[in-house]
Amino acid sequence: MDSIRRRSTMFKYAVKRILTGLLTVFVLITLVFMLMKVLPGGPFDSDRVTDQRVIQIIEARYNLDKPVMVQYLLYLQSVLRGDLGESFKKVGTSVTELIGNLAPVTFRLGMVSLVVSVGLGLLLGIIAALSKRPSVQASIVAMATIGISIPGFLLALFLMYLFAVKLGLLPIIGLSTWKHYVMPTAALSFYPVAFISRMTRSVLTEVIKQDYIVMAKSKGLAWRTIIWRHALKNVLIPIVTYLGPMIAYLMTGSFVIENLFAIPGIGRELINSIQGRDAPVVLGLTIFLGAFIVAMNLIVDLMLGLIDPRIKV
Amino acid sequence: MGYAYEAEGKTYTLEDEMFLPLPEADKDSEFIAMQSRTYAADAWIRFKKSRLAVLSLVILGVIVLFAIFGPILSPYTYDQQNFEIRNAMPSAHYLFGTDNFGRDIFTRVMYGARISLGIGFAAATINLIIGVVYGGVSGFLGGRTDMVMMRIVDMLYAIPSLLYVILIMLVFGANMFSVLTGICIASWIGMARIVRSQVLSLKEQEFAMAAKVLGAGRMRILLKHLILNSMNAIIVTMTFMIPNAIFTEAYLSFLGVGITVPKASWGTMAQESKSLIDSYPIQVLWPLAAICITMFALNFIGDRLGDALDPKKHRGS
Repeated sequence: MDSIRRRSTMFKYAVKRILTGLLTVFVLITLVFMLMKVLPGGPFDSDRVTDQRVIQIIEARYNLDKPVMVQYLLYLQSVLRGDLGESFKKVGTSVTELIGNLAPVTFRLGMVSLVVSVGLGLLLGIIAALSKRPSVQASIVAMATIGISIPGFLLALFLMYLFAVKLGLLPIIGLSTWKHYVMPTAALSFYPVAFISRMTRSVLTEVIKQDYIVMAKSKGLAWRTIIWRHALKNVLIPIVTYLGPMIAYLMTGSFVIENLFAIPGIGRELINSIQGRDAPVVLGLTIFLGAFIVAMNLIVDLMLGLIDPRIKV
Repeated sequence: MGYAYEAEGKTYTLEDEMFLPLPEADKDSEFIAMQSRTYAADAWIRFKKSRLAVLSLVILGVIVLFAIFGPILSPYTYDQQNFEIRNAMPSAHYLFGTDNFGRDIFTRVMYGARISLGIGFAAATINLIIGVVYGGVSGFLGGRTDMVMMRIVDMLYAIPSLLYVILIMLVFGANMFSVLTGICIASWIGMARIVRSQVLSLKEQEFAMAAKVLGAGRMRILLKHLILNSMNAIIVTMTFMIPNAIFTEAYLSFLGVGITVPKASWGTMAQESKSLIDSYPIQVLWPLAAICITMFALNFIGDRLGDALDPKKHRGS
């Protein structure tokens, strides 16, 4: 296949993916705007502002007196500028500011979990595929099967009970030292570790039967070289494919983990705002998370297009 | 006389009567020794081979029975409070003990099974209907319609379903309806995609062409031939949708944004009792064990059902 044609189809594919990604975020914003309009209970219900003139001034200030279409366009404009409105409950705090404070915490936990998931998942998968001892294989496979059925919050509760309540080894609240990371990361990455190790194992057990591996072996290459240079390349594509869903999982999984371990991140704020019916914060965080996940999926897809020449573009 | 020959050091003789035609009565080459079985019976036999799968099925049956009859037969109700027996340990009167408000946990777990299984089955049914119709139409019409329909689905799918649930919660409040709508809004997509890909490949096959040639209408081809032939994939996808829906409900209720508190779902029970984890860990154990066992059973059944319904998968092993 000539590389020029390949490059031009790749370019077309990239443009198409970026456009659909943008459209998705646009639809999400529109949906959120529509929800904001139908939401029961406006900002004036709680504030007890009885003076009609005050209401008029506020409506003019927030463009609430304009037709819905104009409001929609203004809203789109402000979202594109990065302005997601102000919190009802925490007066004077903008949602953008809130995200600026919360996102780094969630991302840090997410990044640690991502690295742990991929690293540990690969390691366990390789061991399970190559180990000569059936007991090692069976225990890793069993762990992976259990890991896929157990909800993360259940594991988090169990870890809390064991390591914090019973043994008193690890702290429960916050995210200040490395010790604080152990339980949230373990709970968050358990499912991805199980998934990746299962995937790695099934790919590797198929690959090492192939002729080119036998060939490499008979050439006298060391096992380590064979696995690293030749066999593991086959695992790369499924793992990169899984990165997209995994990032979404880590983000939504953090809702419960951050709640349980009192970590001041996006997930906890989102849940607190739902319970406090703080609509602008909920909607703003939803747009942010949605856009982030769409962007991550886009990057993953483009990476896949580059890595895997067989991909349908 | 016969003909004698030697092979491998032995002598064999071929007698003349060996070459006579068989009497009519002995002709039984058409006889079918194997009893003929329907496809479902075949699948059941393959399914039965796995003891764990049968065990899962029995467990699920017991849970369903408890969910239906348990709350009716129990002397307590799920919200009946008794402050004299708060946080009791398991006993003959209170099989699983009582919670912080003196409510019988066993009754609450059974009531929770109603909500969880109800949501699971309802979500699976709704997904089945929407998914099959959408996927079937998209795959059957193909071309530009298919492309547009699938792009819409891709867009919906790009955003995690939990965010939809949260948006719906915000509008309709935390109740069963919002949980169910939220779960369904994104999870039918999996079903639609599977049905579409099945229909897309099946419609090119000879039997579909034959039906067309014989003058079958489009509706009949789609329903009787294409959808019916995708039934395997549809059933398997459905069995995995039930545990997913149960999990989502438990997750949301555990976060405190799902089923509201006086009602007892497994998730709300876990959420309520999690603050007592250092004094009464057993109270957290019951709902979590219920979730785990149900999820395991359903996942396992789905897994084995997939193998049992696909005879090709079993040729080798």
